Amino acid sequence: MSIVPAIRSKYGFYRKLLREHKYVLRDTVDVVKMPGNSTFLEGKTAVSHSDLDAEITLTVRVKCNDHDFFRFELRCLELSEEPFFEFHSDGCTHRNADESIPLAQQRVTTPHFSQYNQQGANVTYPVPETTEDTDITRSLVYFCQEAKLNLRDDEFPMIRVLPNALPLHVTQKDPNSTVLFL
Amino acid sequence: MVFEEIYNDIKTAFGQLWTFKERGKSLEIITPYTTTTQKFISVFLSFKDEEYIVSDGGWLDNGFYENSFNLEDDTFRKIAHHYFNAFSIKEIKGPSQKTYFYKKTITPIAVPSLVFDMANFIAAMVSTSEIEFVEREERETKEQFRRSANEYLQTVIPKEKIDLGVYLDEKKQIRLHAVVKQSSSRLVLINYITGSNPYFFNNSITKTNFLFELAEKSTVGRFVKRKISLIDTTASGYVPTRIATFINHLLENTGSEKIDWSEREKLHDMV
Repeated sequence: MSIVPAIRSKYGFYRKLLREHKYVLRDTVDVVKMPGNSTFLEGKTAVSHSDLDAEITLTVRVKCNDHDFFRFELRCLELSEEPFFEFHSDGCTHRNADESIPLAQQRVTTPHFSQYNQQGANVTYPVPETTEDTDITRSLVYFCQEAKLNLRDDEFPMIRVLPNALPLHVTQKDPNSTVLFL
Repeated sequence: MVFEEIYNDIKTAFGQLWTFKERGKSLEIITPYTTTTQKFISVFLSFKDEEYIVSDGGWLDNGFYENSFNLEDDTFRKIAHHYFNAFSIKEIKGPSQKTYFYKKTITPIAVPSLVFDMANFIAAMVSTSEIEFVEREERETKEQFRRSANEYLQTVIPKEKIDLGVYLDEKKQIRLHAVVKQSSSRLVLINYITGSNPYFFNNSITKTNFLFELAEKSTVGRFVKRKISLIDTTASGYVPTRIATFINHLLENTGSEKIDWSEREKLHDMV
């Protein structure tokens, strides 16, 4: 869904939600296997806004067979079911469909951040090349800086992927590599 | 030529949309084709055993274009099959039971055609999946139960013995939620029954009844040793007094058995 009417109609609330300081309530996010989801591992933590009394959640999703493929999502159900701010480390390329931008510049490959404009349209922007990083913890720091998010003591949260399993960093950069195309 | 400058701009702008990412031995080709979810389509080019393969990388079935991919939905399935046939798309399950769609060729000259067809195909499938053919609550109920049941079956049955969402016939008309291969001549068919209200729940029973009948008549019918309906006892359409007649008919008519989701551990002994 590229246009979210709920964000358009509550744009002031959305801006405040995004632009003002938010605090992550746990210093570690454990990303684990979730029932009913064979694609992503998931971890969640509550976030509190410095001024608004809104329930906000930070979700970390990591692809089961490729730990370099992850997403961070900030969600406030009072606003909409769609995340109001996102980071994608890998995956498909977004189009900022806007006739005032030259066509070739409407394409934004991953890694990228996503937010919304006043019309409720998803606007994606790339991660600066200097901060492009496949490390999930460092990427979370960039995400937190971008989203005005940190722990109470100005630190950033840590992510543990499958904390109770052997510490194996699974990657699958080439999705065709494990498939037998008969 | 009129509009020559604009025409040239269009060609340049379209051309500039092509880009790529190197992914080990494969190349992700990011095409100018887009979806109504505002995503550009990627295809993955590999060379294996003297053949060029152009696949979707499993991204359709994984929902990476912010799409859903639910062949249980009759309308969506019909449209999907139209596109599978129109573009001669092949499909195969990857290691995590996700479907990969692909085309392949031995001649390099055909690769651009394959990329063209795959990109058109993926764009059509993603955009179609945005259309709500059934009520949202019903779609979500089905989708949720299918995911939970699939996952449960995958934990209790060895991977090599189970196929999920599989067709029993070459015409691809008889599709069961799961088929367990106990041996080369012993198959156990499992179909899921759910619904967001008793009307949809009964529809789901009726459909299972029909599929089990067709399965018996199919070429693999003689290998079918057991037919099991897995009943979603958590669904809001599960109202025992209103579905009993339908369930009893299903069991008697097809000689099948039922397992309630609340007692799913019984599946262990039956398969």
